[in-house]
Amino acid sequence: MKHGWAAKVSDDEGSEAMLTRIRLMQDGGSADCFASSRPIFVSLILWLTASLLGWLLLVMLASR
Amino acid sequence: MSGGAADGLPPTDGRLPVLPNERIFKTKRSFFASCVVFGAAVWVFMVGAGLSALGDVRFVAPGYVLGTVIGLVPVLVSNGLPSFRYGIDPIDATKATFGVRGSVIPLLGLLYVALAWACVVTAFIAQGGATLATAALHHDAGEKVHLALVAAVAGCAWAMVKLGPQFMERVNNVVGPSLIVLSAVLLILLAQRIGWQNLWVDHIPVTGRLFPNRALATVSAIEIGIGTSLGAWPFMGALTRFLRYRSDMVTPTMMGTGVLGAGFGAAVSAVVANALPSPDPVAWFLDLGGPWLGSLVAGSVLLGNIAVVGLFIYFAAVAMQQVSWIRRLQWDLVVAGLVLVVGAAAVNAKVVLSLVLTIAAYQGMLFVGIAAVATVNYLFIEKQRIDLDALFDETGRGRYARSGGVDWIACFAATAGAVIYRIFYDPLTLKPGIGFFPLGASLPSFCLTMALFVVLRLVFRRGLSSLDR
Repeated sequence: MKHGWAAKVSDDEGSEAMLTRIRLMQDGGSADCFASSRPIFVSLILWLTASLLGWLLLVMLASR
Repeated sequence: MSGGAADGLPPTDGRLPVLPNERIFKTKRSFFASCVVFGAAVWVFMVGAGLSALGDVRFVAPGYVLGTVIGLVPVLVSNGLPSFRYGIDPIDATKATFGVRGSVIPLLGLLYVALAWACVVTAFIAQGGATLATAALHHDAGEKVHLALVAAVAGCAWAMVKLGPQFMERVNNVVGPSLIVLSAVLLILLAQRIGWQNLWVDHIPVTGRLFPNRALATVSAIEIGIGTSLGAWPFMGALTRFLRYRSDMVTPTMMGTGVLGAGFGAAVSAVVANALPSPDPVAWFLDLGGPWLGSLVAGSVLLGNIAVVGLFIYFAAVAMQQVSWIRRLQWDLVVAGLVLVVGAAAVNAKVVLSLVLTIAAYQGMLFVGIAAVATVNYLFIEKQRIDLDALFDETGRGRYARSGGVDWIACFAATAGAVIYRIFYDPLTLKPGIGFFPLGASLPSFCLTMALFVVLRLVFRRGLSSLDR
């Protein structure tokens, strides 16, 4: 079976390159993706709050 | 999408972790464009047409848009975040929650979403083609033409999967934004015909309304919006694993996938379906664009969406490779089997297209429990630190391979989430159950499932630490 992602996985699994890649990600580092997720959560909370307020407003208007 | 890995591996082609320096979405704009493509698909027109039958369009259209945004919050937290941090495939990420074998639960969800929408798009293309043929021939094209079109779409989709995913992605990169532009053009053409002030005048369709109660219809539309976004759950991580900066994650997803991709097209088509007599999007193009321009636009939309069918079949076929006995089958055989299933289900186009809102609501039922359990696991049990070694461990001794590779508590809680959802809302009939108003079904089901999972962990594992696994 030599097609798509699955083929890549079976070909690469166990290889040194794959282990190196996993180690690099496991150890983390200074990259942005390993930094605190707080800005993401703040942004999510803002979007959620605005949407829930919109929900409340819409239901109130629809109930009139 | 291209990678450029330092070690020579093309990470975009595989499940291997994508390293930070290989991430291809380096700006908000590039990620936003992909989110729009991801959110916009031809069924937004059909969802919109269904929304207008739900209740007063002035409330259900904005309600649906709000729902798509709310639904993306659990999707990003439980699926987008782990894939972003570790650059891993979303189904691999679920192994940290459900175990290396238990991840078959989200996998089944992925198959449902991919195959259900492949059926809807195939049925839409076949029915739309028959409508165009009828308009050109001035008499009913008949059942044989419809069947021939279903077979042609299935055959083309199979051929496209053979051509590879890059080709389908390229087509979809054009089709997605085109649908947004088309929605705007539809709105302008409609406004020119009936006047801007009349766009927001509510018309009760001849078939009647599902909810005479306006507030209940609004909450139902929000619920279907949440369901639509929860359908993105198994795919969101596939985008965020290629994202480089955390500041680019939330707003482009909300605006691209939610508001513009899924919300805008559906809201516009709800307004159009409210104003025009037919609920069929192809009939709108013919009605508003005239026989030549309308046929040309509708024909282009139908042709372009064959690639969308191919892409979904490809996703389903790749996902099925996680099952070992399917992995041993010939790739072509798996693809052909899926194409046959989709084609056979799409033969009865009227039934399939009438189930669009039901499919969206079922997505909510399927993924609300999965998202709740994955959220608790990632934030409170793993504390945002997944053990990658254990995730890719093939020896069967890794942390996520305990209890036969299935985290039974997580699987039970996710299933219970679907049952709780069903108590609040019936996705088949779209009838609300006990306590549906005013919070809908997803929000309370999500919170209750999270609470249930925490309690079960505390009772059976005596702790929330990842070491108590």
